[in-house]
Amino acid sequence: MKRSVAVLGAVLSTAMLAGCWDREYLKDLNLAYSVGFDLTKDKKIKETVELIIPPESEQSGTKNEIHSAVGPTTRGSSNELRARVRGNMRVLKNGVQVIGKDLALNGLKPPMDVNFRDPDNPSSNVRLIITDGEASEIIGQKEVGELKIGEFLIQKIESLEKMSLFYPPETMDTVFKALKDPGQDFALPYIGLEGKEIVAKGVALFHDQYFTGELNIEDSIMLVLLKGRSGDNARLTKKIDDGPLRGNISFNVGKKKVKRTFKVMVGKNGEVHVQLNIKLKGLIEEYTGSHPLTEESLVRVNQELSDILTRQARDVVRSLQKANCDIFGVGRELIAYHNSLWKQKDWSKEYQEVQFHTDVQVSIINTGIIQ
Amino acid sequence: MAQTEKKISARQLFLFIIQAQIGVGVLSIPYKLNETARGGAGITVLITGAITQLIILMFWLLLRKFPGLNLFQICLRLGGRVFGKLLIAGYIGYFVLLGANIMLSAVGVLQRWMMNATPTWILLGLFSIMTYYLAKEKLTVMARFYTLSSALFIPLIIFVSYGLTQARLEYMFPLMEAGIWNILKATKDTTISMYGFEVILVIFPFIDASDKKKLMIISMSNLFVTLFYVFVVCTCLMVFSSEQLRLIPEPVLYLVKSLNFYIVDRADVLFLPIWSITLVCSITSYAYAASVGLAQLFERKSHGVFTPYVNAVIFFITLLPATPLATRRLDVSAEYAAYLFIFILPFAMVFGSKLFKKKVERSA
Amino acid sequence: MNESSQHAFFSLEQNTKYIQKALFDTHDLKIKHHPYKDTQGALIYLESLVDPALIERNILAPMSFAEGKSLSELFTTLRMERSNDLEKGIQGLMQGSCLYVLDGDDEFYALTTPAKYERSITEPENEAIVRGPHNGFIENLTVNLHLVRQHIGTPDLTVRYHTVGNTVPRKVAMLYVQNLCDNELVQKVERRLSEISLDTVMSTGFIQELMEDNPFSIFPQHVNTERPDHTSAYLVDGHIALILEGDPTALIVPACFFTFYQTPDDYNNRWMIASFIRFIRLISFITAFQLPAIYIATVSFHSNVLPIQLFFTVQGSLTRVPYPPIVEAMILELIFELLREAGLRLPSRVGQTIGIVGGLVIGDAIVKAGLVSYTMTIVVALTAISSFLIPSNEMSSSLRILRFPLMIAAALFGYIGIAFGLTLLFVHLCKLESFGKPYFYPIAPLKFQGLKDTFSRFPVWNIRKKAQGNDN
Repeated sequence: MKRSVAVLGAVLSTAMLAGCWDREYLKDLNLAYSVGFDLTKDKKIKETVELIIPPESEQSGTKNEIHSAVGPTTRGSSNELRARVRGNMRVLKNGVQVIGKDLALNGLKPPMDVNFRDPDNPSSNVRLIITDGEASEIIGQKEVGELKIGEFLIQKIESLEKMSLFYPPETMDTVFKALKDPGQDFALPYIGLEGKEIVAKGVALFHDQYFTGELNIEDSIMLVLLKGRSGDNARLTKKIDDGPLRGNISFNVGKKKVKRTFKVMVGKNGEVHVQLNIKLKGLIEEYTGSHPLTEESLVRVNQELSDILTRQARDVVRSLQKANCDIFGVGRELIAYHNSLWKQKDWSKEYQEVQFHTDVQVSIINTGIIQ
Repeated sequence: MAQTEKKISARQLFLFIIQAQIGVGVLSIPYKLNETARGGAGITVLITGAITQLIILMFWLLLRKFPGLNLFQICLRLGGRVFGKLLIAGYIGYFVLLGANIMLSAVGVLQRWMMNATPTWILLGLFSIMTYYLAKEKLTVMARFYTLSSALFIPLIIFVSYGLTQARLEYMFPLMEAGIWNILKATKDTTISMYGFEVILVIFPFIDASDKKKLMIISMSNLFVTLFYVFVVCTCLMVFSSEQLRLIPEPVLYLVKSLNFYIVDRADVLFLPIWSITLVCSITSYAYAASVGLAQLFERKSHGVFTPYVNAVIFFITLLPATPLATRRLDVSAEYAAYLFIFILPFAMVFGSKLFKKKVERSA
Repeated sequence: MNESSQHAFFSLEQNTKYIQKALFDTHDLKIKHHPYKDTQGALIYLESLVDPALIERNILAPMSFAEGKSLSELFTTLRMERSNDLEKGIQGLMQGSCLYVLDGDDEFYALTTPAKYERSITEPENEAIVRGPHNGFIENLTVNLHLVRQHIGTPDLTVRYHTVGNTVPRKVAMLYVQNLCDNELVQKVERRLSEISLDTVMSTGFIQELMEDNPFSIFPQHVNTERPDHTSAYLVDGHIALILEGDPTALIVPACFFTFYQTPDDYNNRWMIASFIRFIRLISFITAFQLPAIYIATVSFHSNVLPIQLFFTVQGSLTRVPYPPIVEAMILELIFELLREAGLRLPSRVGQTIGIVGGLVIGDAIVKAGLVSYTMTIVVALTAISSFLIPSNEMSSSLRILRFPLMIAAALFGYIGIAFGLTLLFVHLCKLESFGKPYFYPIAPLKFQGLKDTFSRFPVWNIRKKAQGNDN
């Protein structure tokens, strides 16, 4: 009996007194929800964080603070930051990371390494965003309307994903995967600051780890469709000029599944052909022309829209090749199915020589509640 | 002895072997195999399963010859008093070594992923207490607990199969990239995750089934474990590209970490405690086998008296290696010990028993 | 037990003296001299134990009217015994008999005239059910046996009397159904009953503790119930019931863990509803002792598992609390246990007030004062409610105690600590046996047939099929 009391006492005192090694009380954490990284002129990393401050009482909401610091590496500048901010800054529930264009041009691998290495850093739900200016300026906005900057960015990206601007969502994990994969590149949301407003500008294309090009908003949607995916909506507005059907037409192709054929073929001399066809089913949401959209005229609309979109798709593919961004994973197909060929190729050079055969077919299946 | 110890049922045997086999290895085999066998990793695992099956068959042949006897008693019977006891001591050493090896890798993983600051001896102590508390019990109690904790495979399998949502078939191709020879050679890396089935050497007489049925059940568990490994390996190979996999020593955990459930974030934090319970079962099997051996060595009836010593020895062995290099050395020595004790020696015993029988027949 | 015997004397004087001495001249011993046919005789009884009306009607009245008849004829209306062992007579006195001793006769009459001040057969308050029989055991063994026999009208129902206690012996009835109950079990129970060597057995709790397989376990290993229907159901299932004279509780062995999670109501409900309720109870089993531990481990080690919105909510409610979560939890659990214990000892009307004071005033004030957080209050309240969901009072107390070590383990090592605690707990449960039956049946050892009536309640024809199959 005495012994058990002693044991219990020992256990209790260890529980209460000794610092338990990995303990980290929730109330002591200062969460960095959104983080921005920039490259300074002397090639150092400038980190800007938005810290979430818990409310004083239950009724009021959280507040945020913006801090920034410069260090030789990502973790280095985080340590630098810890010297400035109050309490224990942690990134364990980090939601979004904004990367300045300069840093992206210099390669993502070094600054992102800490995210993949430290088990405390989340990776499954962290969005990456590229900005055309300084990430510190975006984070420095602090609040947009009623929303704190981190929340605003997340909500904005998520709603744009639903609008098929960027889809499927690129997170820290998918980027890690693409960074390490020689046969696959990726594209990240691209935003910029216009006056006081944060505006989506399309997507930033990457080759390997380097920022190499960009697409505008309409082309970004086309890129998503070419990947065979779509968010909840994918709205396009095109001008058709075909006899009586002249007018602007807005249609949504995100409501039905995109049918995609994607084939990588190898010619006799080792040249690579890619057949990339998509079939879209569209719902007309707006039409400014005067001619009613009867069944006969829809055939012509389909024809017209398919032509326009095919042209656009080919442009997109051209810009992709120009940026050397193998976003469709042609290289991966080669690794898997034409491995010997792949080993002979220097993919980062030869990707641009791949011949894409792109074709888009649109069929309008619904004109709304009027013709 | 057979009187005091109740026998375990066939179903319990099935889960017992599974629990003993699935251990720390499963987390890292995709990584190890990616190094050597590349896309053919699944085939490697299948081959290893087949080899294991052959060894099981050999064990069965040995055990069937001596009905009612376990490994240690067979050692005594075949080797005589002195040599037999030496053999027993060797086997005890082997079981302790393997138990220690599992425990060390388990604690290593826990420290890397969750408990960075917690001292090693604390975690080792926790594992030692858990294994001690279970290993000192009767076989039936262990079997009951193993059955119970088999329910934990369900969340583990769900977690891993959830990873299939991110899978991409192309990552696994080409299957034969490494070539047949490398695929075969890679079986060396998988065998260590198959170990655990050797507990049948000890528990064989305590199973309530006919000899044929016992063999069938054990083969079934081996099949299950092999398929489970194939599933895990293939999932990991399809989720990660081989360049990425090369960087991740515990791909299963990395996979679980990257999953996004809506109720909880970070499934790996939930995965690790669950998985550590199934590890306890693996270590316990070895601790139990070693204590049964000690009981045989000192001619005592109950093994429970020896369990504390076994656990203490395992605890101190695991405390010794402080550097990754020393850990690696323990790993390698466990591997070679396994070759000796589960392949060469039993083979010699089967062989010896044939001679032995002939001798007996001739003298009779 | 005093097994000595004393042959009665021929003289009335000597007999009365002997009895008076044996009872240490207790003042409630009455000796009424009442001659029979000119022979000196005395009626001896303990006035505190006999019913005066019975004596008047059945002894005195016949004796005064019917002259000429023999005594045996006169007392026919009663259970009457002739005996010559005074010690036996004294024992009879203790049970409410009265003795009629005649001068010059070494045999006396023992007439049973016990006073019956009995509670009526009412439904036990802490085991009330919605549907089904509303009677319950009382403090009288005979009545209790009667109640059980009413339920099981077969000759197979066997009663064996045992006596426990050396100085103050008490009768224990052991009930089982002959063909349904394992013989080995019967012998085991009988052996353990006979091994009880205690001076006094005050209540069933004593028997319980002396008979258990593992007295150091935290789990109850006897089911106890005050319901005859519940008892009969167990008997028919092959269990053994022990009923102590003067105690309205039946102890049922062997007990499994999950029997504590079942109520007779389950079989009165439609099976889908009953299954749903059992499922809820199963959840309550998990929450009743793990929830605080999980919460503590989460907020002190693994805050990264919380989804982001929840993270901020919990963090917000924690910021003002000065203590670490484990202390916070201990404070609240302590307050809760205080309230519970206070409510238990108070009359029901005041008890309600305690509930209001505890629930509303303290609960709200303690959060406002910043001693504990809102989330912790929610967690502890949920835990408390889940522990009340368990039908058995003992099991719910056991689980309540269990959560403290688990909380400490969680505060020390986080989720690994919980895994550690649960492993030890479940190994213990697997190890535990109640009279040779595995305690954690049907989970360990696993029996799928048994699971049908454990986690859910399959339709009756489905769960009973197996039993019928066995009979054939």
